[in-house]
Amino acid sequence: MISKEVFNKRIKTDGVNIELGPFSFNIKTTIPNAIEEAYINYKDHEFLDANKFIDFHISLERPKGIRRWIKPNVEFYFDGHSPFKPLPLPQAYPMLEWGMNWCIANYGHYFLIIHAAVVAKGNKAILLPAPQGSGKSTLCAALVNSGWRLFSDELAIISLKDASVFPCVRPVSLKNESINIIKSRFPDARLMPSVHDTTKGTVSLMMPGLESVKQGNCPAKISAIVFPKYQLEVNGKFEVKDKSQTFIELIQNSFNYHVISNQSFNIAGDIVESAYCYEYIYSDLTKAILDFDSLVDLD
Amino acid sequence: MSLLLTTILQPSLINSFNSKDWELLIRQARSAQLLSYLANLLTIDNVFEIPFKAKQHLEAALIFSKKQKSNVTAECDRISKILSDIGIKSIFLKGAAYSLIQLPLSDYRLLSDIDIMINKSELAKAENILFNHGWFSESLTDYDNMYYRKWSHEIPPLKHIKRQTVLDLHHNILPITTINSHIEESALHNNIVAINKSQYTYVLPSHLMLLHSAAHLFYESEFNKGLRDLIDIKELFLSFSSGDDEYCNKLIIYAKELGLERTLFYAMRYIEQILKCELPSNLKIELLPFSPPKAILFLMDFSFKNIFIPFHSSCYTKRFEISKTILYWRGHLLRMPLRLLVPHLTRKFFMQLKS
Amino acid sequence: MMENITIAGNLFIRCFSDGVVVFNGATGDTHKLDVLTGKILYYLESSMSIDNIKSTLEIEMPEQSIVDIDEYIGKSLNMLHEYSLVVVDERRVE
Repeated sequence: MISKEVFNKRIKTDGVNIELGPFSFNIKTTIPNAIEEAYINYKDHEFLDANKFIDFHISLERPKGIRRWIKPNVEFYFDGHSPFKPLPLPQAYPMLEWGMNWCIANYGHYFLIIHAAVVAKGNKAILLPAPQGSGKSTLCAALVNSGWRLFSDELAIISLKDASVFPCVRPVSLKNESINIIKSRFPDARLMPSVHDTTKGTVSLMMPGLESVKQGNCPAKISAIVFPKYQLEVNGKFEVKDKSQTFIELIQNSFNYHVISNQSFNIAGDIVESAYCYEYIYSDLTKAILDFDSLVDLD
Repeated sequence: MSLLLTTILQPSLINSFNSKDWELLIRQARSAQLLSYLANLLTIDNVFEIPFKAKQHLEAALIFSKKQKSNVTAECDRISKILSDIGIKSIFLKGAAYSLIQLPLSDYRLLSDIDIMINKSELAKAENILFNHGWFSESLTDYDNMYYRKWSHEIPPLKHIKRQTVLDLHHNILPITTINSHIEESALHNNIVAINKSQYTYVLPSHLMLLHSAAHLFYESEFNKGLRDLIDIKELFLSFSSGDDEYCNKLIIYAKELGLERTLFYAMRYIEQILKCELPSNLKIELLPFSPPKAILFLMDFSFKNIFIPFHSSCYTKRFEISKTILYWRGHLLRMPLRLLVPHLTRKFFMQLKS
Repeated sequence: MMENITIAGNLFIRCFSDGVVVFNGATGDTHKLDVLTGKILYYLESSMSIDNIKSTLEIEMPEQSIVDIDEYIGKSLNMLHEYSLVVVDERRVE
């Protein structure tokens, strides 16, 4: 574990080199709230020596000129290039996280990348593809607080060689109501202070557990693809989903399926072929946790 | 010389690279929009052993450029069909043209937009029909809109509402207000070459294609893609001159006809000096009279030799900053006389302050 | 009437028990097909003629009438044509 002093010094100068599963980032910033939150989230991660190959060089900077003082902003940079519009300064740390997603989704074409949460027990991973607002992050947070390994709440990173899925252990992004749901259900969960008025509403980042971080380099096989659907007052259950339909919905949730073309077609086919495919309709998190536990035990 | 350029000129250097060298090479290449070009150079025929992490980035770049190329070709087809429905011939320029004529370079070259040239009289009709097919003008201030239409050689770029492709319609290759050059619209339009059997997809002939790329580069004021564009010119020259004994003659003749003698001189000079491209000696002799006076040549040599670098933090030097300023003003002054330039730039400065 | 059916080049087909997915390398599009249509595409891809496909399906689906099978083939070819996976070229034979 890196000390706060060393971390603070490095992030302001040469940057900190963090390994996140198959990707490495060099992160630089002098913005105090971003440094604070980055330290809390990444202090237990693997830090790389200065002589290691780093995939992405990113930084958060405050624009010069008038916006430094009046309605202060923050900008995200990928190796000197700023791909997004500036955001208000309090959103500095979430912006860093979104920026990291952007780097992976835009430059990680040596993996098939799907917009999905991924959790695992042992070396059996479950993919939860779902668009925004489907409740997947809440479900993911609940599972991760109940003995499941977090791979990611946003990005399934799938090898084009053997269809295994890689972790990229970072905070889980909780939005709006789910913040309170998780806080009350799991009082030991470590949540960062909420940030308001983002484009996604109120956002709070939940830190991954230490176990997930420690196993941050261990890939797994996808044993099930589950499409979660939150509905009021239903009794949670798995409904078998057609594989051909699963395939189509899986690639519709992909960031770069169309870029990689036939290679990704083959890998997506392999995954769907060998995984159990379900829809999971639920209203109760406790039942959901039990159901998911039995899903992997079945195998 | 940047690590990127050194490696492009001598790829075998990578055999002595450590992780940090690879990392820097890839970062510079990405900044210069040359990552897929580099990737092809280093991975073709599997001559070199490339470490795992670096290889991943090179492969990702190749995957991306391959996909982009097929998108571009499909898009060009769509656009030219739409315009042909109202009798307009589409003359594709630059990157899109390289793809259409299957130039090897085009497999590893990224495009940010598609450039087409049509007759000035047809611009309004074209804009209309493209609008009906989902191509909209990106929202600009009224001033930018006016600048584009009145003084530049383009209407504002059009973006496809669904596919997000950007299309630039030109009616000439330089702004109307360009001082030195007297490029005649008809000189360009009369010389076009049809692609395949279609009667609606055209490109410029090979000698004009190079002259156009050269004009585009050497009238520029911003050079973040400068190195990439210079490499384009070298590749065009090598591809076209190898199959055509008359190529160099045609270049000279048309450079004179279009008033682009100085431009051709610079283009050939710098692909030789910076990119080590071998030029036939009689071409060099014919280019000598096109040289500027010694003092100007000295200044241009300094500026251009320091501008064709990756625009990456690892490459910025004091000389670069000076060259950037010189060439910024040179480009603007070439494209717009001072009496118009000053108010234009002042206006832009205040608009930037506001936002 | 003779039908000349050309299958699109560069297709990738994957069969599941409940349906077939196909990737068209030329257009970059991915489609889902019902089992029967997928089967027909698969047979076309292995250069089977329409007549052969008809006979094969008649054997595989004995509970269906010949008229019904003709109808299914027609519907499937329509769908494949719509997705640009095949080109149906109808010619009249005197």
